[in-house]
Amino acid sequence: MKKVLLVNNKSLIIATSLFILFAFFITLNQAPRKHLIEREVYADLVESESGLEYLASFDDAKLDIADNGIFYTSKKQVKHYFDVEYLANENFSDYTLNFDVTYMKELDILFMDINLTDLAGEVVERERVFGYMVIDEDGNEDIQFDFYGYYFLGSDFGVKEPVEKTSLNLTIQRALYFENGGGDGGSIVYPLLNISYSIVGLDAAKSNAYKVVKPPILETDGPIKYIMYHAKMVMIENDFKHNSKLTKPTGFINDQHNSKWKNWKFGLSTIYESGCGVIAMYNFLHDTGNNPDFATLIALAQLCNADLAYGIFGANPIPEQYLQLLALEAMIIFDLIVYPIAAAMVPAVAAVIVANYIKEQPWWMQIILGISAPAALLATTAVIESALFAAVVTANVFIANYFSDLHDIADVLKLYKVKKISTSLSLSSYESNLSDYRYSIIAFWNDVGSNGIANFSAGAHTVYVKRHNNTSMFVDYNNSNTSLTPRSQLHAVIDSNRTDASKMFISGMVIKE
Amino acid sequence: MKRTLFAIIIILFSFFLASCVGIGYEKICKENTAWSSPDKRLEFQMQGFQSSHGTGHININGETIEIAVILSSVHQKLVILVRGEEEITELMVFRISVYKQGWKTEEDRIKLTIITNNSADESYNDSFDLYRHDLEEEEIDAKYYSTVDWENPEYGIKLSYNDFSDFTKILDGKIEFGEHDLEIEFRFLENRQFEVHAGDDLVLAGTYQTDGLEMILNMTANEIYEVDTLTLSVVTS
Repeated sequence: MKKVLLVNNKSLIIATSLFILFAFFITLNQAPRKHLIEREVYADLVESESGLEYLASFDDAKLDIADNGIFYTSKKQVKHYFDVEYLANENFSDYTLNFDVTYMKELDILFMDINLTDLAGEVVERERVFGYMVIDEDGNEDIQFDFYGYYFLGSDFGVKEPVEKTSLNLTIQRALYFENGGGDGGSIVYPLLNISYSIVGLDAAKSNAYKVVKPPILETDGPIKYIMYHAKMVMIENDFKHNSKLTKPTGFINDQHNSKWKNWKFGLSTIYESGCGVIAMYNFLHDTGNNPDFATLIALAQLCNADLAYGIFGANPIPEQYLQLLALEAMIIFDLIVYPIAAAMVPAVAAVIVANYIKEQPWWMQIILGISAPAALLATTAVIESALFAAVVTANVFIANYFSDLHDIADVLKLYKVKKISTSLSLSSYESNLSDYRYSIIAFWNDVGSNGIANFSAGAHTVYVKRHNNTSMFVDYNNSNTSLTPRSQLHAVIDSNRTDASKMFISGMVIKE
Repeated sequence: MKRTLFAIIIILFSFFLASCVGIGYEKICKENTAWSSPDKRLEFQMQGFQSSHGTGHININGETIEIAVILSSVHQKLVILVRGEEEITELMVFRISVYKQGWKTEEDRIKLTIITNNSADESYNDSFDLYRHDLEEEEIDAKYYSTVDWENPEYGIKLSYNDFSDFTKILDGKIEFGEHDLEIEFRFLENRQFEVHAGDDLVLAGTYQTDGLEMILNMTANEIYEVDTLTLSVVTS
């Protein structure tokens, strides 16, 4: 442990204050704080106080959580930090610390300006600290602080384990440890609670999705998988480009029937027509403080292959291990559906390859592409069309590829560090899973035919359902239902008559957090 | 052969998972249409940008009540909302079913089956049909555009609906233009007239025309702008 003397001069007052504030500031977007408290049992300083409450307790506190960053200003007298007897100069106790904190999400950098002002309001000390993510020599992620030219790592202060970092989705569940600090002579742990920054932007989505779907390599995975992947990538990029310009949703999405959702692209469909699965994910993530970016979430669902038939049939609510059982020999489906879709994308795929992948192509492709740009485009298109045609002739390759890479809603949620998800395919199993937990996502058919079998033509729906914290009633979002549902009538979420709920039930994901 | 057929059925089955709008249901929601029951006790219209949100009236035990409605092909429900003392409440929720002629869906007729009836009128508890027809051009009126915001960025004016707008025909808004930074209320009046108030002050007034997703204001009273005509567009995303 590195020893830090905290209270013998003004600069160290500031330094200590900075870290205390920092510890709380980065809790802003965190979701389930209580888990960290349970985990870091020695974090006795703030065991009952959330980071937001702490920041709000400062004088003149102003907090602005924007899309691009977090901005916070406040002030507090020194005596609220340190007992007078521990200060190098007792006059310091009535001085004021003025904080100006900025966290830039895109850069993942924290700036903290702090001024120490005397009783007359004059600034007697002014400091700035930077904090940013680094990877040390051993490949471990850490936080590096830059304090007037003196660099130190979070691990120097007792950060127990490497900091997890997922692109811009920063998750920290560690603590800063000050030995002999805090003015009481003992050690104090300032917890860095769980901070979960939403995955924002296509690059962040791609880098996260790589954990679920590896980009195919032409030489090893073959042209079909390669082509289909890049064809879909073009579609995803176009969707994201379009969606990211639209007005971002705020709060829960409860109105999929609103015509504005027709503008939101979801592959070959729209959020209006088949976005209930993505909306269910969004509502869950929003409700648990993960601050999801809707356009990015759509892209993530696509990148993870959690969309069914390029979005036409929404997001997949069934884990892949069940669906793979269905991947038999149904090549005709792909003759009818996938080939026309893929063929329509061929020019775009070609353009992407010409623009970005020439150098990585095998010799035969490079020869083709070396002619001229327009000719290369045409030639590449021809090559891909041929490959597609060949693939359709042996469409079981498509089948195998499609199902081997098909994922589901739970896989997408796991990228947001939602780890404990249990999926059931029967209503009774779902209900027994749900008994002690609050959050779930359920999918169900909209109707049952007179023969007692689900009426597939009426479509299906996926909704986020949670247990109300205080009342234990259930509330479902985006289901045209404004009333709370008691546990005894939970089936009404699926079927208003509650008689056919088990027949209509498709799957239920219980998030065990 | 049997195996292949089985595989096709299974995959088709799996592909239908999570598709939200049932086959044919997407056709029933259409902009600038009116729905009514055969006895005209329930009537409402979907005007402008929205195909699922509208306003109208319902007869409850002889009394006519103003309503807002959500006709959702996604959720396959018709929700009828009424204005309460302090909030908008659900009066009724119906399940909607489409009629089919062979493979073809009837777009202009749906069947309603009650799910929730919070009214004192039990006559709605039996299933009944609703019929749809297209509105005439002269019937289209921005006043009846449900749950939409309007804006003209060039002139710094934005109007936003609130929970009560469908009933009050009043939109909240802001004007940020030149030296003006005003919180406003945009009030639709009778005979396609409007007024804009900033607190107690009347700042704009005149008549409006509706042209698709645009509303053209012709101002007779104007304390803000140097122009007499201003076009607002529906915010569509």
